[in-house]
Parts: sequence; C-alpha cells; structure tokens
Amino acid sequence: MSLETLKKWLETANTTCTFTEDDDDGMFSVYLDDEEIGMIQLNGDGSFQSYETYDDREVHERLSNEELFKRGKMILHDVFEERAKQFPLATGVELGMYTVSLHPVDETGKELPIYALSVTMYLDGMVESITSPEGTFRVEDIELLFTKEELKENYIASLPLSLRFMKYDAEEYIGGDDTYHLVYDVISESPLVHPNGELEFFEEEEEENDVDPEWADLTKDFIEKHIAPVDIRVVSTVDSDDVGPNSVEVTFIRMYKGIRVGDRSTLHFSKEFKRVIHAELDVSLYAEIEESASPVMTKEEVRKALYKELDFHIAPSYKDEEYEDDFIHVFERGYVERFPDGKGAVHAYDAVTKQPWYVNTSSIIEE
Amino acid sequence: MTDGRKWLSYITYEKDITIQPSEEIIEFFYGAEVIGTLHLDEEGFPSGYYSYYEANQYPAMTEGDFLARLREFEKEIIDMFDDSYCYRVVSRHLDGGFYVEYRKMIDGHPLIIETIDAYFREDGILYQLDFPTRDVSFNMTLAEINEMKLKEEYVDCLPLKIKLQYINHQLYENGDDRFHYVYEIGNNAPFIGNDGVEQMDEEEEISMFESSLTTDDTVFIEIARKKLKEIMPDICVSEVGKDETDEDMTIYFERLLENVSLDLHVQVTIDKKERVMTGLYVNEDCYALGTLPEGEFLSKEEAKKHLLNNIRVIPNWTYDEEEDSRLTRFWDIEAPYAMDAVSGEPFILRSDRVIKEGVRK
Repeated sequence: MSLETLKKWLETANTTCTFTEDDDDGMFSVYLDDEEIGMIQLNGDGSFQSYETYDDREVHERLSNEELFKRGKMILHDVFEERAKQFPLATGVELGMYTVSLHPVDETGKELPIYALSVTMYLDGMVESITSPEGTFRVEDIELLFTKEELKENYIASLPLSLRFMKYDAEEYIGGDDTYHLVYDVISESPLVHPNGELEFFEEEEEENDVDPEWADLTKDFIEKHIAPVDIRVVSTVDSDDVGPNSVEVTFIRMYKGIRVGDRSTLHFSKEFKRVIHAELDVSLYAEIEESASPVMTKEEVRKALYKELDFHIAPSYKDEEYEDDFIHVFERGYVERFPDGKGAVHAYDAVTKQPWYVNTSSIIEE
Repeated sequence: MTDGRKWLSYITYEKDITIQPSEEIIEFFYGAEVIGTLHLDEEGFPSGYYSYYEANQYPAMTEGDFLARLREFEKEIIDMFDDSYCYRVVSRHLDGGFYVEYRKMIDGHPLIIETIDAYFREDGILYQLDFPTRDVSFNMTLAEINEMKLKEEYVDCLPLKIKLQYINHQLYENGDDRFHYVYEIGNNAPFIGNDGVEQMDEEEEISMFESSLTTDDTVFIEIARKKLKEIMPDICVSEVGKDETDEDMTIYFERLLENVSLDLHVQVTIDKKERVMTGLYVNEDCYALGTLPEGEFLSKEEAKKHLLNNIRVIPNWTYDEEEDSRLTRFWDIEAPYAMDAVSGEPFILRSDRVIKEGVRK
C-alpha cells in the first residue's frame, strides 16, 4: 500500500499533506495544510486506484520535458510499487500538461495502448492526477485478411489525393512555415485500418445540399466586404432550431481556381435583422496564395513516395471490454500503422516541391 | 406489468409494429428501424419513453383533438403508473408540440417537482415521457408566515439598479421591441429558504480591463474596433474587457445608445499571430435601433411599492438535505423579470403558452 509515499509527491517545501477517509467507499479527501486540494479513490481490495486534484495552479517555473519524464516515472514506480513492474514501457507527452504513462507489452514486446498507469503533471512538476486501469487484459490473435504489402497497396490505391491549399503549420509539422501551400492531401480522406487489414471509408460530406441562395449570397457579400475579396463555396445553409432560434447557419470554404483552401468557416445570421450574429472564420480566408502554384508532382509519384513511407506492424489494438467474474480489457493483435523514426505520419505532399509534411512528434518521448 | 401493446396507439400511427421486450427495455420496431424505447424499473413500472422517429410526419392536430387523445393516454398510461398524478398543465411549445406536466396531488396541493413530463409532437405522437421515482417521501408542514413581511424582506434584498434594456417581444410577454430603463429583478433575485430571505451574491462581471494595457492589447483592440465599425457602422459600441489564450484575444464590447451603455454585448476574437478577426459574436438585439426612453425614474421607494403589488407569495417545494432529501414545503416568491423604471410596468418572461391547467376529471 502506497498512500504514504504519495504524500511526499503532493507536498511542497513548506506544506503538510494529510488524508481523511470520507466514507467506507474507499474515498479519501486530500488536504494540503488546511486546504482541500483533491481526492483519492481506492480499489475494492484497498489498493490505490486514482488521485485527482481540484487545484488549478499557475505555473511559474517549468521543468524540461526530460525532467518531467524522469519525475513522472519515479512517481509511478513509487506509488504503484510492484504493480509498476508489469508495465515496462514508458511514454511521455506534453499537451499543456505533461503526462507519463507506463504500458504493459504483449508476448512479442509490443505496447498495449490505453491500458496504462499514468501521471499528469503541471509543467512545474506538481501532480494533477494519477490513474490506473481497472481489471486485467487479454490479447487475442485474429485472422489477417491481407499481407502487409497488399494492405499498403489497398490503402494507397484508395486515397483520392485531392489537391488543396493547406497551412504548413509550424507547430504541427516538421519544418512548417505557417504559410499556405498547394499539396496533395493524404490524411483528410484516408480510410480507417481495422486490425484484420480491412479498410473503412468515411462518407464524403462535401455534398452541396440545402443551400438557400438568399443566405449564400448574404454570406458571399459579407466575406467580400468585411473579410477578404476571396472566392468561397457555400457548403450548406441550415435553418432549424438546432442552430439557435431565429437564426440561420451558413457553412462555407474558400476556393482558389477551383481548389479548396484551408478549413471550413461558419456564419450565423439573425433572420429578423438579416445580419451576422456569430462568425467562426478560418484564417485561410485571409491567407496569401501563391498565384503561380501548379502541381509538378503527379498522383502516381505521390503514391510511390507514400508507399516508401507507409508501414504497418503487427501489434495489439484495443477491441472492447468484457465483464465476467472480472473486468477484462480485450486487445486484438493485428495491423497497426507504424510511423517513421522520430517523426509522425505524413499528412500531405507539397505538390510543387514534392516535400512530405511529417507530423512533429518531438514532444513525445518513448522508451 | 407492461407489455408495450397499449403504448402503440400513442407512439405511432403505423400498423405493422414489432415489439421486442427484454427485462428493462421494450423496443418498438417499424420494419428494421427502432422507432422508440420504453424503459422499465425493477418492478416493471415505466421510467421513460424515448422516440427515435424523425422522418414520418403526420398532419398537425387541433388542440381539441389532442386533448381528447390525451384523455385516453391518461387512462391507460398515467393512471396505471399512479392515479394521484391528476393535476395537469398542458402547454403549447413554440415548435407546435405539446408539453404536458402531471403533478401529484398531496392533501389537495399539486406537487410541482417530481412530475411526470410528456412531450407530444404537433401531430400527436408521443416523443418523450419521463417518470419520477415511485416512492417519494414528503413533509407537508408549511410554516405560518406574514405574507406582507416576506414580500417586504424580498424587495429590501433586491439591489434595484437601473439598466437600459431592449424589451424584445419574443422574450417578454408584453415586449414592445423598444428600449426601456428597467429595475432588473430576475438576475439578482434573493434566495428564499427555510431561514428566510437571503441576498444573492451579485453577478460576476466579465473580466474587465486591468489598469494597464500592453502595446499588443492596444493593437488588437484597435483591429477589433475597426472591424466592428465596418460591419456595423450604424451601431455604437465601447470596449469593456478582454480575455486571451496563447493563440487569440477576445475583446468584449457593450452597445451604446446615445452614450448610455446597454446590457447588450458584442465580442470579437483576434488571431494574435495573423492579427485578423477569426470570431465574432453579436447579441441580436444590438441591431435593434431606437431612442432613449423618456420620463422621470421612480425613486427606489416608489419602485419598491410598485413591486410589492406585482409579486406573489406561493408555496413551493424543496429537497431537505438534512432529512435524507425528503420533500419539504416552503414559501416562495413569484416575481417579474424586470420592472419599467419610469412607469412601474412589470416585464414578464415569455414561457410556453398554457392551454389548460387544473385537476383533470
């Protein structure tokens, strides 16, 4: 039992941490001096299940990602003691807060996703929450419908590879410059890969249905007058209580020479005044577009380049939960996409320079 | 207890419906499509019905036809659940549908919480029905009070600040789509509990400007102000506060009418990196044009006198936390949302139109 060891991770230099049991249901209130800062939940057998703070702290001095990763691992090993040894694989990721997770591995040494001991810390290292999974897990082998090569070919052949102007976001992509480029989009219309190799496609939602010309014209007028002199295509106009009483919602996207630019935007009009009462505008409406941009790369070249990047390996993925005598998390061993070393997936290819856009994964540490 | 068959005539007009019962749920199928689910409690009493019917629409019902249909429904469904739910309020929703609330009668008083709530579509099809739990315990005692004293305490607890407000006809029963100076009551109403009248904490204002603005703040506010001048050149606004994240800044404005600030907000979100507007929100009433109302304000003392004539003491119910959440009665006050600061006219918020209310026979 590890409640005492948790105290030292919650205390600061000049405070004392105490726990009081709430009821007989395994809940403890956590106090730092006299202030209640959070709660602990125990499992039915009295072992530690989770901790959560109510405290919303402002961080003044942050630790480095490496320090946070190390600290997170120490906390988890300290709190979960013996149990942590069954979770040998550590990952760390920063998303405003820093989360360290310890995962179990299957017989082949591959990580089990989701099922993990986790600690989330403020960037100064103070604990925000600690969680552990309930129950046990089981990994099932399944029948694979295709070889790896077949799967890659099916996947790549299924991509429509639409041309778009997309923002090369500096935070999201390696080498991003925050400007708009003409690209082949390999992510927005990609299928879902099931562990057995089957592909599932999402319905094309670009249908131009239910466009009321009156509201479409008002939208074009508003954008041209007040935002930027750009072409837009109105995707839908919705007049129903779902979008608010007495208002109409118009969804649209910027177009340049017949090619989509950026993401969708919406306007809401008051029916009574026929004026805009709400707007969510994608920054692409204001973006400068390289007028002379025209694709140098062919779709065939994209498919060939992608074939070299795309990789699948056999690893567990989450299937569902079973409740029998015990709570069991069931995993299936099948195809899972594997990303290039040190980088994330390719989301697009620059149609002019042929450069692939890799997702920036530098905030993730995996051991 | 319930086999689902007697529900059919209220949940659909189609004939070929298959009923698939299980322990806690009865599903109704039209072909392969589930059109609704009836949920049962441990004793087999209904706890709720939820319709999934979207497509089929039938002709709208007249109020007379609907009330006749309702009587059948009450005999077969409501009374089978508990025949003491005989006080009913039938009202018409803005979308044409009918809300019916059944209240349990206790010693001749209708209980206004723990009600059975039904919603019928305009065509008379039952769309949603929620039942309360069957065993509720009550404490019927109601303290002896001096009504006038309670009213006076209530009025004394109101901050009674004067505000300029647009009285929209869609929102207020007697709305005339003009600007009025009002004493606002609704948002600052005192809380009445077992211990008498308590002053509510005043509403928190949006984050107002700190004393010093950075250069960046000034730049973003200027962009927002310019944008609003373009979009609504006929409307005067003044900035009152801001909020920001790493990516953007939202600036709040208040509509001005002849330099008097209205309680109507506009907000503009600026992307910090690109320095462009990415979000806009305008309270619809900002677009209403008008002039300042005229006339002398009632003094606070006069306003209080008017108010005393426009509020009512009514018995209400609450859950007594100290007594295992038993239902307990207490005296409450029913008040208008606002009162005209010049004429003393009360402004009452519109609710669904009540067609019929009372004990059903």
